[in-house]
Amino acid sequence: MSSTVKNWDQEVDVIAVGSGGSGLTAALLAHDRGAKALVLERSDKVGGTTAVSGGGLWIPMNHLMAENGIDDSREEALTYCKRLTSGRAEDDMVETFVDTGYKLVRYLADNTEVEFELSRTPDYRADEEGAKLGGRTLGQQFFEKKLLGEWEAKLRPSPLMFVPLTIDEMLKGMAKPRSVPVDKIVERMSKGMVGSGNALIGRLLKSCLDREIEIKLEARARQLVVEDGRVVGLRVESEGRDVFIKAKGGVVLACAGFEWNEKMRKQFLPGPLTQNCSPPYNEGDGLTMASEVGADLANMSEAWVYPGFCIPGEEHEDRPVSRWVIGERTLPHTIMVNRTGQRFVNEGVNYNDISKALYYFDPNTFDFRNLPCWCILDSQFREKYMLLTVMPRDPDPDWLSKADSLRELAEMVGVDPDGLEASVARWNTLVEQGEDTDFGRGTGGYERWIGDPDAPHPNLGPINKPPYYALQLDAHSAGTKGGPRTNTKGQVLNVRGAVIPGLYAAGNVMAGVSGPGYYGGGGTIGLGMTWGYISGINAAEEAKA
Amino acid sequence: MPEVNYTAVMDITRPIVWDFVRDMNNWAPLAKGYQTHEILNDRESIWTVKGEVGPISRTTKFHITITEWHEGERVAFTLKGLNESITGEGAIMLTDRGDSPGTDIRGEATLEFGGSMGPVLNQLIGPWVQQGADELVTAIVTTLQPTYVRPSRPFFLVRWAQSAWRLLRSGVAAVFGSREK
Repeated sequence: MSSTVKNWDQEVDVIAVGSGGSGLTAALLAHDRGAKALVLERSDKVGGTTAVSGGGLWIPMNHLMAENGIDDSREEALTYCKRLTSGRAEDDMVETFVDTGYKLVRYLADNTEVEFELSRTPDYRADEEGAKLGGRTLGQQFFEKKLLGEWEAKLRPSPLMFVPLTIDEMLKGMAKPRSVPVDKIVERMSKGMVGSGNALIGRLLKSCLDREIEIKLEARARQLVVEDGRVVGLRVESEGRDVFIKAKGGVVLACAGFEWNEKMRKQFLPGPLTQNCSPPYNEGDGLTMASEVGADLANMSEAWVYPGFCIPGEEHEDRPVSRWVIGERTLPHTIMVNRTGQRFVNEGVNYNDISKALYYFDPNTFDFRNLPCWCILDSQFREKYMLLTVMPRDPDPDWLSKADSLRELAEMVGVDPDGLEASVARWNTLVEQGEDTDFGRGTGGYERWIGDPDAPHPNLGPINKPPYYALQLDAHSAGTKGGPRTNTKGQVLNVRGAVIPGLYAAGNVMAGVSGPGYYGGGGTIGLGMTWGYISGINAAEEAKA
Repeated sequence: MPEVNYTAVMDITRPIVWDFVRDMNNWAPLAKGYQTHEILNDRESIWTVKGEVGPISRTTKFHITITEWHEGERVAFTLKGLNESITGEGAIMLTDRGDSPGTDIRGEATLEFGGSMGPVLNQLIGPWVQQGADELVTAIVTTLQPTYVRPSRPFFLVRWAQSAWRLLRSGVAAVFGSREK
């Protein structure tokens, strides 16, 4: 939109569009660099996807690693990251991430309410060169919500992470349900403590409120205002009318991706999505605005996809709750099969990478052969491990298919019975031999860490004790990771590779710096907040110019 | 386990209220989260309810068994989850108002999640159960007495304030005598 705005309703230095981790970080840094910052949030709640997440950041060389005696180096981090980007992100962007992320962490720890906690979760591809077996993922200290005062009610609730647990407690609890510290959880809840994404956003929000950074809720940014080729502000829908807000330094788009926009999903993604765990406001607003002013797009076919399941009847804000399936496919006594009854992947790889197998398009059958797919488990799994929300001694839920024979189970769920019987027989043989020579299950450092440490093998166990169970899995997402390309300063680039002055991007709205890869737990938020840090600083500098 | 109760006062006599309450089909649909119910016999029924546990709502089936039936005064019941490890009990009680025509209707309920995560879930379900008791009693009252206005403050505060005011008035009257000539 070329500027015909004569009267601006408001003038600030830096506008952060979106109140997730990336947007709040951009606003904080802009403010701390002397800019007048404003946060615009489309919905009535603060926090975006970050608020409903695990709240982790993946940041190599962070200072907590050193404090805990864990070595890391630039060389190792770059080797690992560049391997995972597979050439689909520019080297200077990856280098900027590695060189800046730890500064973000240090800055937030020293200057805001954010308090990090080291996680021992290994990097997701723990066996790659440069990977670490723990330390790069940072979780959050628990946060007392009432410190937000009247803003407590405006913190976006998390349908999955509302029980205050650390990252490690959560992941380890899958294999060891009795290790879940129920008494501590009750104590934390009685004190109004939250963890995970709510803790991260709570602390970022408190920091913004302490600085009196204005946060406008129910203010949807719709169009960038351009003057002489420079982004100078926004048209915003607020309180039923258009409001024009000027941004002297710049607009930072931090309004997530397009996973809830069906048209865009079909245009860009290589496969279907059945459900998302993110808030339903991520409809590509930032992508639309940036495209309109000529932004170059990249990584558009990528999303943070995972095998998920929705428990029938379970809802949050009238939408099915997307549940992540992790232990159910990683622990002993379980495999994943497609409709032909065949295994097709190492079930223990991280969720981002396993989604590549979900999206395999079979040229013979001309469809997605591995969607849906099924976890096939037996009673040994049920007796020992958590299954979504169900503990070992709980009764079998009616949403879990159950049968006394594999054949009967297959017929119940629509899987080829002969194929399933053959696959389970093959699996049991491999387990007996102690090695999955078909797909390498149980060979990765990450899957072994979240496996059962007390089992003969953390990830391998026979499936031979009825009753048998099946859990149908579909492709769900935590967000898309394609969008406008930026440079190392967070500035959005046009299709000719030139900077669009006044426009920045951070988080899932932008072309992801990890390409098709996922570095480790917190890989999305770590990248997003690093770019929020970079964008906030640079937009504030522009405001001074 | 969450234990809640809610009391309302009605300007309708107890037999009329009882006539309504005695038939579950009259008030079951008024329950918070109610989806369906199926009468099995004169003591047992299956209810499907959409309840809230923290930010999540779940549809749960309960087996309800009436355990006490005091004609005109009280009906008590137990409930057991059929697809969740959850148990509870409740009661609806009617008493004549002492000082004027009308009825006090009181609803009580307890609900408890079992299983190893029960203590955690019980922390979350309390507000929903309290709201459920409030809303059910209020809905029954409003159905029978459309002019009913729910007290804006928690009922116990209203009753406390009323009692305190009566005491104050009687104290003032005792000291200064009646103002009437």
